[in-house]
Formats: sequence, C-alpha cells, structure tokens
Amino acid sequence: MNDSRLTGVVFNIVHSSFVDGYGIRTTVFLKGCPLRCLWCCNPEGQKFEPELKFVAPDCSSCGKCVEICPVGALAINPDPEQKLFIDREKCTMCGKCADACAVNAFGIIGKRMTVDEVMKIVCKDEYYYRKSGGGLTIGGGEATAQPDFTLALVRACKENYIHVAIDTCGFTTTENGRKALEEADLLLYDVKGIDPAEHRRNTGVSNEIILDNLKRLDSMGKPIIIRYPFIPGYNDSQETIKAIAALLEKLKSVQRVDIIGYHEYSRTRYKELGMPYPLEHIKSTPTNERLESVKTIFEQHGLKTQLGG
Amino acid sequence: MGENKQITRIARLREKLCDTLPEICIERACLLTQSYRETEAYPEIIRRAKALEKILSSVTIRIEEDELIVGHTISKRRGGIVTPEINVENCREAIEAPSTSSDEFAPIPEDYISRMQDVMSYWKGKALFDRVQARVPGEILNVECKTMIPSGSSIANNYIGSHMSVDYSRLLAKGLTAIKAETEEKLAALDPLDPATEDSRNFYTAVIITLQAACDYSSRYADLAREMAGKEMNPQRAEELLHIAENCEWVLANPPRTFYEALQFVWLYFIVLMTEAWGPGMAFGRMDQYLYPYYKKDIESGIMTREQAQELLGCFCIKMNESGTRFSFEKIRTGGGLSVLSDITIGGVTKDGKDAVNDLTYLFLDVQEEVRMFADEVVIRISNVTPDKFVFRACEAARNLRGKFKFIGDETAVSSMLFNGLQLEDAREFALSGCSLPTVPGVSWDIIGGLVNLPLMVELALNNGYSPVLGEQIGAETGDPREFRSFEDVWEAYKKQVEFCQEVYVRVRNADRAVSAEYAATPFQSAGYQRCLDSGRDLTWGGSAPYVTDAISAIGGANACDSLAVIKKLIFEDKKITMDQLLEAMKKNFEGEEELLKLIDSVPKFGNDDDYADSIMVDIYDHFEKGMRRFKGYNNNKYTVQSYTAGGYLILGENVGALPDGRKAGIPISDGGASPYHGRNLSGATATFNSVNKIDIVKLSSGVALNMKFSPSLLKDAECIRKFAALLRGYFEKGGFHVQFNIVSSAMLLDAMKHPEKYRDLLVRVATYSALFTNLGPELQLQLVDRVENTEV
Repeated sequence: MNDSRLTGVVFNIVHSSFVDGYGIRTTVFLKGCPLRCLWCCNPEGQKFEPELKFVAPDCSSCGKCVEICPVGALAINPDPEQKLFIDREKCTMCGKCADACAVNAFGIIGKRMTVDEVMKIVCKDEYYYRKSGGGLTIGGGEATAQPDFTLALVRACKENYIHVAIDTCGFTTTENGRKALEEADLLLYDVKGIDPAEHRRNTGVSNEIILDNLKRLDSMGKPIIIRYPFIPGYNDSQETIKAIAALLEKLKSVQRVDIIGYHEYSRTRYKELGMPYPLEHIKSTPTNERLESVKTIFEQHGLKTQLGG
Repeated sequence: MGENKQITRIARLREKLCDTLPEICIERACLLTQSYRETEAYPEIIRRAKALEKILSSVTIRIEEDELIVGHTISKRRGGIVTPEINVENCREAIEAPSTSSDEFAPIPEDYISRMQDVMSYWKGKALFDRVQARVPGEILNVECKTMIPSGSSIANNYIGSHMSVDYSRLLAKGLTAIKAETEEKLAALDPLDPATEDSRNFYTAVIITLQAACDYSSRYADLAREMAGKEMNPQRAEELLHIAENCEWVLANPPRTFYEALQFVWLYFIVLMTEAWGPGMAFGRMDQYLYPYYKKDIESGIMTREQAQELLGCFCIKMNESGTRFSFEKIRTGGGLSVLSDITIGGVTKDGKDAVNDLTYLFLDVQEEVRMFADEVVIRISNVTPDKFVFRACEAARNLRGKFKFIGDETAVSSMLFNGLQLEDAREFALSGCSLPTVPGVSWDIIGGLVNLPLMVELALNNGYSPVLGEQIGAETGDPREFRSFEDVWEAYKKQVEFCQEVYVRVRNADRAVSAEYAATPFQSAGYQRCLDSGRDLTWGGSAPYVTDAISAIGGANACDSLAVIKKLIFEDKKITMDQLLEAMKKNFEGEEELLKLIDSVPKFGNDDDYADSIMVDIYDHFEKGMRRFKGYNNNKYTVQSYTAGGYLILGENVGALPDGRKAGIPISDGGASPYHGRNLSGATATFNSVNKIDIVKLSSGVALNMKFSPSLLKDAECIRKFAALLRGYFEKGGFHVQFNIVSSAMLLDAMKHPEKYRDLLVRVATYSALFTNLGPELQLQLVDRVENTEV
C-alpha cells in the first residue's frame, strides 16, 4: 500500500481547519460510506461514485443543459423552486451540462485523485501543522471504506512525518481498513448508540463490528477522541447516554468525548443532490442546557467532554 | 490617580472626546503666515524655525478636565489643521468642503473664511506644491496626476516627510537643554569665516531656535496648569494639576525622572513635531522599550502601581485620537479624514536579538482593551523568540478589539532593513510608521510617496497606452494588443507601461524632495536624529544619509496578476477566447458576457496557493522592485517599494475600466498590497499565507500589507486562540511581513448576507467544521449571526 499512484475518490479538501483533531488541520473528505445515518451531515459522502450537484437557486432556466445532455436525463421543471427534472438513473456523469451552464449551477461532487496529488496539497501546509500540532485528517464519507487509498495516505503521512488522524464510523471490515486505523496517529471515532437494534434503525447497520473495533484499537493504546452525535428522539435516551458513558469509562485510550448536537446545516445539500432529507420532522435542535446536562453525565464518568468538535 | 478611578477616568475622557465634533484650527496657519511675512530676508531654514517658534509661543493652549497627560496638537480639543504653505488648493477645499456624515466636522466660523483668504493669498504661487509644479514639465505632471491618485508627491498630498520616528530613548535620556547645548557647541566649532559652513551654521541655528521654543512651550503648560490649580475647587484635581505643572516645568528641558514625566515628554515632543511638519505617520517608535526603564524603576520603588501606569497610558492613547487632518474631499475618501496614523510599536527583539517583551508590552494590550478607540494604532512585532504567552495574549486582545492591531514578522522586517543598508543592531530596532512602513527610529528617514495603480498598467498595455476611462493617452505606446502573438508580448507591454510610469513618478518625486529641502526643512525633527546633528544637515538635506529611502507604492497587484493569468490561460494557452473577444467584452463592461465571466472564474486566482497565478504575482513585484533600482533619489536616496494603500484602492479603482479578471469598471481594486482580491481566496488562511509568502517580500522593503477577515468564533476560546496564534507564527516564520485581521462582527455577517459577492472568502466556524459563510444557506447564516453576537466580547 505504498503505491503513490493509487487513486481514491475525494469530494473535498479543506485547509486551515481548526476542528477535526488537534492543531491546524487539512481535512480530506473521501466519498462513500457503508452507513446511512438518518442525520448524516455529509450526504455527498454517502455514494462511492462522483455525483451531480444542482443548485436550483443559481439556475437561470436557459435550457442549454437540457439541449446538450446526451442521454436526455434533464428536462425543464415548471416548478420555479425546482427548475429542473434530473433523472439520476439515466445520468452518466459526463459533466457536459456543467460545462454548458453559464451560471455554474451544476457541480460534480467527487474527483479521482492519486495519493501523490493529495499529498502534494497536504504538504503545502506542513509548516502550520508543525507550529500547531496539527496534520491531516481523513474524513468522509467513511475513510476506511476506501481502505487501500486511506492506508496509502496514512503511510504517506508517516513518510513525511505529518500527523494523521482518521475520522471514522468504525464500521471497518477490511484488513487494510483496520490497518489504516491501527497506523493512524489519532482516531476521531463515532459512537452513535449501544443497543444494536436501535443502531441498525438509525444507521442501517448493527454496531457490533464498530464496538469490537473500538475495543481492539483502544487496547492497542491508540489515541481516540469519541464523537457522539446527539439526535433528539433517536439516540438521546438517558439509558443510551448512560450506556455509552459506561462503555467509554472502561476504555483506556479515550482522550476526550465530543458531543455533537443535532443540526440542520446540511439540509440544502440534500436538496442539491436530489436526496430527501430524512429528519424533516425534527423541528428543533437540542438546547445548550440539554447538551450541557449530557456533558455532565459523561464528566461524572470521569470523561473529558466538550460540546462540538 | 485614585485606585478605583482608572476605568472611569478613561471612560470619561473617551466619552468626552467622542462627543466633541472635530474642528478646524486655523491658528497655526495664521501664525505661520504672520511669521513668514516677518522673515522674508532670512534663510529658509531659519524662517521654518522662527515660524515654529511663533506658533508655539502664541497658539492657544488648553488642559481638559480629567487629563493627566496634557497638550494639544491644535487649539481645539479635537480636529485638524490646514496647511496652506504646502498646498493652497487643498487648504481651500478643506475650508470649503461640506461636512459629511463619515467625516463630520463642526461648522467653520464665519471669520475663518476671510482670515484664511488673507493667508491663502500670501501662499498662492509659492506654496510647496506650486514650487513642485514649477519644476516639472506640464505633460509629465499631467500623466502623474492622471495615473496616480493621490499624486505621488507627498507635498501634493499635504504633508512633507512624516513617516518617521525620532529616537525617543536618546531624547528622554538627555532632555532638550543638553541637546541644545551640544548643538551650540557644534555651531561654535564651525568657522564663521568659511562660506562652506554656512548651511550647517544655519541648520544648527535653526535647531537651537526650535529646541528652545519647545522648552518654552512646555513651560506655558506648566504655567497654565498652575493657574488652573489655583482656581480648582476640587482638591484632588488641584493636586493633579500641580503635578502636571511640575511635570511640564521639568520636561522637555530636562531628562524625565519618572514614567509619568517620560510619557508627558513624549507627548509634548510629538506635538512640536506635528506643529513643525504636520502629516500622517509621526510614529512613537518602540514605546514598550524606551519607557520600560522608567516603568520598572517606578514600580520597584513603589511610587507608581501597575494600575496607575495603565491609567497614564490610557490617557496618552486617548490623546492620540484628538488630532487629524482635514484633507481635501478626495483625500477624505481615500485616507479617512481624521487619523494621523501614529503607530506605537511593541514586542519584537532587542538590539542584540533577544526577546524584548516585558511587562509594559503586556500593559499596552490591557490599555488597548480599555481605551477601545481607533487612532491609537498598536503594532505588534512577533519574532521567532517571542514567547507564546505573549502571542496568545495579543491574539486574544486582537479578538476583543475585532482586529485592530497590525502584526509584523520581525525576521522579514529586519531583513528588509538590512536590504535597505542598515546595520544589524539598528535594523533590530525598527518600528512601524504610517500604514506599515518599517523605519529605524532616529536612524533612518523613510519617505513615502503615492500609489502606482498596477491594474491600470494592465489596462494601458491592452490599449496601447490609452486610457478608455480618461479618454487620454497617458501611458507608453506599446502596440496594438490584437497583434500580440504570445503571453510574453503582453507581459512586455505591461512591463513597459510600469517602467514608463515609474519614470514619471521619479521625476515628480525628485522635484518634491528638492522643494522640501529648499523650503521645508524640519530642524526640530532633525534634532531627533543624532546623525543630523553630527553632520550638520537637516533631514530633508539627507542628514540621516546613507539611511534615507524614498518609497513608491505598487497597488492592486492581485487584480493585475489575476488579469494577466486570465490572458495567459484563456487566450494563449487554452485558446478558448481571442484577444479581440476579451477587449470587446471589457469595453462592454462584461454586459451580457456571463459565459466569458464563468470561463474567467475558472482561471486560478492569486491567494489560493496555486503557482499558476501566484508566480505571476511574484513576477509583478519582482519586476516593479528591479525597475525602481534604476533610479537614485534626491540626495542619493535609495528608491524602495512598498505595497499598501490606506483607503486608496477605492479611488484608484475609479480610473480603471473593466479588467480581464472580470472586475467591472470603476469599482475598487484589491486592498492592501499583498491582499488577494476580495472573495477570490477561497482555499483557507494557510493557502493565502502561502501565496503571499511566494512574493520576495524582503525586497519590498518599505512594507507590504495583507488584510484578512476572520470570524470571532474562530478565536472563541483558549484552544482556538492557540491555533490562531500558530497560524500567525507560521506565516511569519515562513517569511510574512504584515497581516491584520478583520475579526468580524455580526453586522458584517448580515452585510455578507446582503452582498455575498464581497464576502466570498469569509471563513466561519459551523458545528464541527469550518465553512465559507456565503456557501451556507440563509437559515444557517442567520443562526451564525446570532451565534457571533453571543461569542463576541
């Protein structure tokens, strides 16, 4: 897995991030995830292949894209809010509509890049990582769902003495995926629930693999920051909170727990990808008081806890 | 100086000042003119000295309630002066200009107009600007005025040579009586029979007149304070007034014995400097260094507490907000009407390269948080040896003041000073003056000039030297752009336009310096430079030589760079458009050219750590700097390059039509010298820093400004401040010179919602990630607006 020409599908690279781990970081977002969390805030990270994004408010309804589309996947939509019908089944991601659009209403989410190409960008901020104790964070999607590429990135960081973190859901079933987690310097590890049935309802998968991986990595002494997405009505019962806290209390390598309150920041991005927003019925986000009370519970279990990541 | 009164005193002084409308003072102009009428027969430098003496002995002086540091630069509590001796037309405009909401002045009294008519009639035809015009051919002056706004001549802009700092540490150590005695000795040593010593004898005589006038001026304050103390009913205030009287009796004549006396000394010296050669950028130098021995001694001996020192410094900083210049209308728009850009520099390294931060350095930050005004500019030097603790504290204070501070990278600034020819130990003593000009107090004299409009040079290169906006041939003839066969042809034409322009500016500037030397000597300022006293030459005569620079500012580099990148890529490399298409679209101001604009949008822009665009920026500044090396200035001055605009980018934009980079006609060009064009650096702060640091900044030795916007939420807690500080230190260690942050308020975020195009680079923190504000949906934007209000201090 040292092949610098190995490729992966990347949908975003964010520089100068103050979040996603310690110090100043560059975060590389990989496409594709085995989970379908109802509250997913990176919907563009779910599918593995590049996708077409359409920003309806930017569209001038000129119709050029409809004319140029070679497979007839596009049609004018009389609804002024929708502006276009997009047949995503037919779409081949050729990108001709995006090229033709004068107002940049389309975007292609996801780009195939080599390890070398990514590392060249990552290394540009090397100095700032050193000043701040930062580095690369591989996120997604699910980083370990592109196991070979992620492992190659981790190893490339090691070669360059750059700190590397992986932001993971922990549902890692491949050997190289597990190796990537084992070799990374820091893990941002999601714990989304304890009850396997509830976990399956919320994310589409059971959590046995996730918790097994967590315990194994913990026993190896891998530095871990736990992320607990707090979703009203889904994983916020006192029972769940206490069970998570009780589990984490037993682990030895957890450095911090970040409680991430439910937010709706990704709502428009669902729209742009033509995806329904799964939690349409949740009307309010958790109050600060509520989140503080959850934090207190974790702290009572001796866990260093903060709100937000 | 009661224990619990500090906060209230500063608050009262601030409130009083804010409630006072600025007024125009014509006393200085009238007294100066009266003196000039009386001294027609004297050598010019003596006339300057006698005029200063006349003003200082007769101008109305005042001491305000609550003040502990006394002295006003003008006869009013707050406001500015007019300088008809420099430029009569600007003076007339200032008197006649209507008061505007952004630059509100109190109404001018009726009699001022007639009194000023008399004054202006004296100067008409012999003001300094008239003399510059008389020395430069009309066609050169025309091009100069048309391409460079405001003009490249300092004189045209109402000031002489004022971006400097005297050596306060030497002045404080000696006191003016001792310096006067030294000067008298030097004068006595010159052979009065030798005609070759005449200039020096006149210089020394002028210095002696001004030093005595300054001492007498402080005595006037002592008398006034004593008189007021006699009438004061409040015993505590009476005591304060007596203390003020004692201070002003002792300084400026004698070396101060306490921190309080030292501060009063610096303030009075500053007033005299301003009275002699009014202008922006009379810097205070490294205040935390030269005041520290006084501070330390008083704290250790117990005669002053840290809180009392804070109160005194607060009084000092408030006073910096009192004076300004009523510029002409144009200048108000570019420079802002009322700031004298007097920088206080703190931090950095000592002469021998060690960390210079001391308790007083920290105290300045505390004072800034308390005073919370605008004109008391604080410059923070950060070197590789500056402790993190101080950098964190400075970032925290910057957050609390929504930016405000200028941060300077010591190593680059010191290298720039070495590039200018200074000795290492002097170089390490640099301070900032004006916008961001590094100078060595009391050693180097660094004069600034006007602004070369780089985007205009691109436009002229694409129009054979003709300006479509002005309807005039103002540049060199560089050929029909439709005949250009390669990007190199465009680049050659651009270079020729720049070189032509530089030649024009240098001619005007040299005339400007010659006129200053003949008619606008500054003997009092020169007394703050040991080299002037040793050489017997005024600063304007090259008294500080070889440490004299003449800077020309290259502005709007980002627009020039982005425009050239578009031409290179779309016309010559990708061949997606023709030169003709681009020129036609520019002529139409891109009306109906959305597709072309989209193509333009896809070309890499400066500020994103993309070598395609950044390398052009590097070439632009490299070429400009090499171009300036062709010239020698008046007195053999070194010509240097600077790159910042104050507010000049607004007005410079008006003379430039639509640019190849998609910027529409008439709107502002990029601010700051190294700042990317607003909304085009979309790749994060590190990418912007990396782009800027590709420029060979050391060689732009008179300073390069970078302005950045940050959300306060990115500095919300200690952990974030640590990261922000790391970003700052990383930038400096990799070669950065200057950066200042706009740590934005919710009002700005609301404005960003209304005008997203102006804020495309605004980085904010959202939940677990950072995002560009304009990329967020409206509901979320509103949430963030609310959040910012919560996190702001």
